[in-house]
Amino acid sequence: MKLHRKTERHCTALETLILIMAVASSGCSRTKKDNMSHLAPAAAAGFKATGKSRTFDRKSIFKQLNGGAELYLDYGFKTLLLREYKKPKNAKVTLYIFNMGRAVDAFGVFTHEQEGEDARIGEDSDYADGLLRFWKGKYFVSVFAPRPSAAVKRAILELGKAVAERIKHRGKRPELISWLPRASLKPRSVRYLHTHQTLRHHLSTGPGNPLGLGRRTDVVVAEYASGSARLAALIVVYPDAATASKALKQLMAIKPDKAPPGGRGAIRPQARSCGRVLAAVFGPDPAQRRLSFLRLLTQKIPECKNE
Amino acid sequence: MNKKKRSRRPASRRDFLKATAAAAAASVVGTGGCRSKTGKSPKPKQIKPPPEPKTGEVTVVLVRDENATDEKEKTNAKVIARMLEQAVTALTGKPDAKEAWKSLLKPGDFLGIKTNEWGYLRTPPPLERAIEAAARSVRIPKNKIAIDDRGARRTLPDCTALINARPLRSHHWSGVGGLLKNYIMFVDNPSAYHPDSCADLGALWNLPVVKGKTRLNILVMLTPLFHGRGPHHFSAKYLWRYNGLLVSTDPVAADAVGREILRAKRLRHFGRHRPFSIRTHHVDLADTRHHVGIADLKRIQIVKLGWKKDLLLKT
Repeated sequence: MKLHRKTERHCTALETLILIMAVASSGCSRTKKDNMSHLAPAAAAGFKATGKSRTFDRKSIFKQLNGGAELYLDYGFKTLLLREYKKPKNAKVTLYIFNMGRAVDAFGVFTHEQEGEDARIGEDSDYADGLLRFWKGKYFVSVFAPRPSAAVKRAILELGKAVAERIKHRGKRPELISWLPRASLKPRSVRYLHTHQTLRHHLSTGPGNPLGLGRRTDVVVAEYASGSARLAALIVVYPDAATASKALKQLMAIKPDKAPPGGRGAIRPQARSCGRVLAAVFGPDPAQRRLSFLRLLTQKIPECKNE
Repeated sequence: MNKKKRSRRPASRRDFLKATAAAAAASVVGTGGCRSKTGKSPKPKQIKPPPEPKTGEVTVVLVRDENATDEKEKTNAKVIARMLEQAVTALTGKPDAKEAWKSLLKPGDFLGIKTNEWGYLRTPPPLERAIEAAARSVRIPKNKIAIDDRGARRTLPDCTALINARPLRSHHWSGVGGLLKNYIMFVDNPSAYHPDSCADLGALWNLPVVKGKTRLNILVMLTPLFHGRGPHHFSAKYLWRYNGLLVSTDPVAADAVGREILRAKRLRHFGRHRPFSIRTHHVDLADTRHHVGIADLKRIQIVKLGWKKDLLLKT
């Protein structure tokens, strides 16, 4: 009996030790997962880091970006790492590394605004007027200096390349992108997003949130040229078919937007839903043009092919 | 980024508590904000409003001077002070700036200047100093003048008079950031006003902490930002030297005129109509939903003073 009790005590102690080790190691691996400091180099092109990196989470990001934080939160942002670089007699360069949690969301943030030349960094990138943007894996990266000289521009690009090399994992673009027709697609007009707040920057669907968009919806919007007219294509994947069907009814019930100043005619939608997917084309009359394009748009959507 | 040389930063919590304790013992502490002896908020003093031009219309004065900034966008303090004098004189219809300021502010006022410290395009310190000097000229003592941005809800709530002054810029979440948006720091939950492209910014102006207190609005158009990119929605490429101030008692009207100038600039720059990244309906809704002022340009009388080149407004 005594031996049994001793054995029991040993087993309990062992179990406790195993438990402690499991918790400790999971804590360590959690720390390693979230620690992005290894992604930020100490220097690039003669610009040296001034001080340590600073990190911000979903609550504290507002202190750094004010209202600008909303964009990243809309895409499920996790952590921001910020580091500043300086070289004597040159402007400061700031590095922002956003952990978006998923590659598709890093891609989405990148698509939100695209200007300038392709810097050939990361998976996709652009550079214009002191701002480098790119995505790779689950990270979206900005490198910024407000008034760049040639030396500052070199530093921005070198810093970006160094960060991209340190991100080991690549990432896949959202599947929805592959459903878009390629003919007459306006370059750099493809956007991937989730919420109506972000959609508003690219396409007006009237007041409120008639499409019922949110973090659980996947959305792609793109612009096309059709003769002299511009059309916008929209694809939304909902959690279920009932929600898609409801969104379709709400979309078709709203009044068309008035013609914008300098625009050509009111913007109206033509749309259909197939299972969980809603596909829509927005553009001026004639309706036949929108309908033709809608048929083209749905050709590659798997759930529409099945109908 | 411009750095303030004088200690005008919003009070830290410790500073605030110290100032409040001191104010309770003494009278009013200027840098601690507007605080009365009794700790109760004084009622806003009634002043005679400026003359109305016509029924249903409001006046916005646009004053410009090509020397207000130089090629490096550095401000000229003397020119800016002169512009402000010209604007308030024209706005109030008084014979000179001194009388104009007397009609806007009283010696017994606790004046709060709601500035804007956004690092890339802040309210120019020479303008802040010009406003302070104007307040002193109507015998408001230094310790009854407070200036703040991010700490406004702590340091300015008991002011009896407010002057609202900030630069106009394109804004990621509200389309344009102007006078209406500048009061967002009077609340402790700014993100509550972000939905629907910040549609209800006008509601801020009906909150007790600011309602009825604003004597003057100054929309700084010296180097407005007409387009933005990146984490801070700023690009120096999209600043330009307009060298103006838009001055009015109506923040909605001033924002509406400023928005029109930005639209015209965008059209000229991009060569085509390019809407703001987000709709700017908060300006119109401040009129039609919240009744803060007038957004309809047809009902706004724009008085144009000074430099006329590239006005970007229909004359």
